[in-house]
Amino acid sequence: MRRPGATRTDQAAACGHGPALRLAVGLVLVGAAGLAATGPHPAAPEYAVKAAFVYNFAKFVEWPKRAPAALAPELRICVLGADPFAGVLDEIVAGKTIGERTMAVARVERVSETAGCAVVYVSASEGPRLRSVLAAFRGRPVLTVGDTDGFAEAGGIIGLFLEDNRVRFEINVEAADEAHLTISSRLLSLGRLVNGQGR
Amino acid sequence: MKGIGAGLFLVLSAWSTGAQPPAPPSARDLSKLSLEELMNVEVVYGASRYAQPVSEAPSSVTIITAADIKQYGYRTLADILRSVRGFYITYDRNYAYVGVRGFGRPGDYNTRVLVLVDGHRINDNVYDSVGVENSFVIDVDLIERVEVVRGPNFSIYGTSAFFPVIVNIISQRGTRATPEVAAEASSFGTYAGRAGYGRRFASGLDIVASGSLLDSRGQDLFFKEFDTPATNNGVAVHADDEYVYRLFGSATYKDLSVEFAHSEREKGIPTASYGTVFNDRRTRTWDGRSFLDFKLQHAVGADLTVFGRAYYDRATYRGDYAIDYPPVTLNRDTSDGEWWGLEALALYTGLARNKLVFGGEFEDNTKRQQRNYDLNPPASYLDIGNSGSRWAVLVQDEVRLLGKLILNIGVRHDWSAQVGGKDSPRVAVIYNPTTSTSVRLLFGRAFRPANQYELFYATDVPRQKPNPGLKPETIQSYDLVVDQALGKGLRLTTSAFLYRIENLISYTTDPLDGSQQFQNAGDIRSKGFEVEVGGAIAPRITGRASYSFQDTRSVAGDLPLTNSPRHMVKLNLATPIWGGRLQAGLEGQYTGPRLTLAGTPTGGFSVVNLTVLAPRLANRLEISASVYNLFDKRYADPGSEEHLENVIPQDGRSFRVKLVWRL
Repeated sequence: MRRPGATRTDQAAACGHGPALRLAVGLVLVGAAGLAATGPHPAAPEYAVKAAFVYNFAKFVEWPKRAPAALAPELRICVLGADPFAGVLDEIVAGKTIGERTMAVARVERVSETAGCAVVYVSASEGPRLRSVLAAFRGRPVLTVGDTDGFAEAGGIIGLFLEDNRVRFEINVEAADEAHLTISSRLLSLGRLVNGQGR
Repeated sequence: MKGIGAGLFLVLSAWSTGAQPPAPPSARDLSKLSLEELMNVEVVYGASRYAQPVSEAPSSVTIITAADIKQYGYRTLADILRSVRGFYITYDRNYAYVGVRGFGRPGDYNTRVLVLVDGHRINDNVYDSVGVENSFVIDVDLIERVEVVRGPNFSIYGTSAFFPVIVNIISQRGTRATPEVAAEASSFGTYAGRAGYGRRFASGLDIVASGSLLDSRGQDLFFKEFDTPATNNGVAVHADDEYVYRLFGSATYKDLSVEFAHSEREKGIPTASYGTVFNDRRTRTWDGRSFLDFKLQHAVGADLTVFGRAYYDRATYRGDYAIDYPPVTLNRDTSDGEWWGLEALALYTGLARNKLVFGGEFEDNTKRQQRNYDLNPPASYLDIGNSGSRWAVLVQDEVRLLGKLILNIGVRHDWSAQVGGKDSPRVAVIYNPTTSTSVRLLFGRAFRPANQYELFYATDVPRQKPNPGLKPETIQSYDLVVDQALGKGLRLTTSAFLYRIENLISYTTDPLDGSQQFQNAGDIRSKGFEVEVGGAIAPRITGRASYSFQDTRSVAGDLPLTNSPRHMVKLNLATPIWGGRLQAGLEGQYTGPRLTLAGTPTGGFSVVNLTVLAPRLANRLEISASVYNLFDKRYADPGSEEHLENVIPQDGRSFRVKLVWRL
């Protein structure tokens, strides 16, 4: 390569436009069929999808009957740290109920403000202190969700991750047991199960 | 978020704050989906060096995933890019060259298209080149995702991002890569094997390691230009052979990651390029590429995230050419490049309605050596090397003027001793009037300094003169992109572009003495449009179909460029078969006629590839079978300056069987 030993120069001669465009066999038909068809799975921004997951998790988890989160009139999802959802989570839970309870979203800065929270979404901004944050929730009937790397293995209950451009989740069953949360079998069958105490 | 391993591009979105106004729109629809449906929703990214929805990216993005690579049986980066709207590949049986949007200069070693692996630039420092065939530095099996980003990127990516299309490759992390061994056998005596390991430990440490080999006998090829008894009746015997090995490793822990890659490729040259002796197996090239890259990503409070990168790179090339002076003598041509650099980037989201990016880069080219000499009797024709550094600063602001209107402005200032200081701006207006429509208007200006090869390469036979006075070439680009969601699961992307390149650095003949030299040879104008439908095309069928038109001409004389097809069509369809136990991937590509250097058009051609994949034939076994060029279409790519052949015939029908055993 790289050793130009040319004998010819680049003659940019007029292009005979050649044969007319030939489409790959069947392309037109397939394309037309495609336009008419409607598939089930649109593409969406990452955090809009993750917000929808958080909402779904709340539907498929049961809190112990006497837990503060179960007794409160509304099911509160708290975002701990920098909120990555940009309002989508609020939009998704607006007007939704679980059982007879309405749902609400709150933003909190520190663990001490999470007293009334049923679900705590631990933002990636808490990554540097993830272990201490999760340790503070250990044994408390709070569903911790996050998307920091290794969230569930570090002791979080449900960790979100991306695979094939799709959102997947893993469940730390031990941590859920310790928190006395009952996770529906449907959720367990769809998620990847991991262990880890973050110790 | 899978951590910094996933690259600079993903990570930052995790840090976007409440400063963002509401609200990406499909929230209502998403809340109605079941968990199973949600798990099938594709997540989209962009490319401003931090993640953003594609609808807000100052570009038009195509994403090829690890699943696509398996599904369509892609063997090389060239195979992947061939499937992308607007791209075409020219293979001269030594190297493969990327053409895009009508611009694929014969003799251009992919110098104008930036290729990144995890944000690390792969283009080298002597030729600005990237090998996209088997000389590409990592195995395609290690790729998590390829993002092809169309639009002016120079202001943010800089060096090598001259042409407004970049290829950004994200490697797999330990959450995806598993301990596995793979073996494959293909036509033309080609065998390849790979052993890989990947794991994320409970501590958060993420490790990937991989090593692979490829050995190909290649074909005995016939070239009609050499069809005389003196040159074996035009048959080059065992001169198409290829040998490759690659090593890769990455480790990620919390905010830090380190990545290493090394590859070597040896390839026989059957075409007797550069006037070498036909059917002489000694004529061949060796290319090596390696890098070591350290990355740091750290959140400083909620509003500020910083990135750092330090790297060391090496790129080597050696070519042996049997030349009949007479007598037949082995001439050796080499290059050796070494460089290191530092990058720092900060994203600040503390101002309402603004996302600010600041950055700086420094690169020191410690070695850029080019040599050319005869082995026996020894004679040296070229031995030149130099060093040199460059630096750049950049700033970008994404301003949300109204909820639906985003203005993205960036400017970059580059400095090097060779060209002095230079500013490159980008302006993007992004308007998303409804949840399903996105309109983007993009403008950018970029430049490319002549590389070491263009400036200094010189030989006596054939006579080539250096040209240290080469000016940078410049480009101005305008892109209009309209994305439209067509009901559930289908997207329509249309884009139009207009480029003007000035002072194009071209290989030309000096009319005074007949010698050859790189010169600033005038201006090029390119315009075109692309239409693509993608997504869930029908129940159980996913894929994409595209048509692209491009018209690329010299401004002086209004003549079309060589190796520039006006029309291209791409089709990719994947569907589960046999109750989901198998997946079939069908691919069709039409490339229109291209003008050769001799001024004659090559025929247009359609190639169809088919891959059937059994993801779990047994519990741990994955098998795939591919047929490339299913209908055995005879076609050829235009030759370049160094070829006596006007066109170079390409492979007919060929096969591959691949087994992956997960440990």
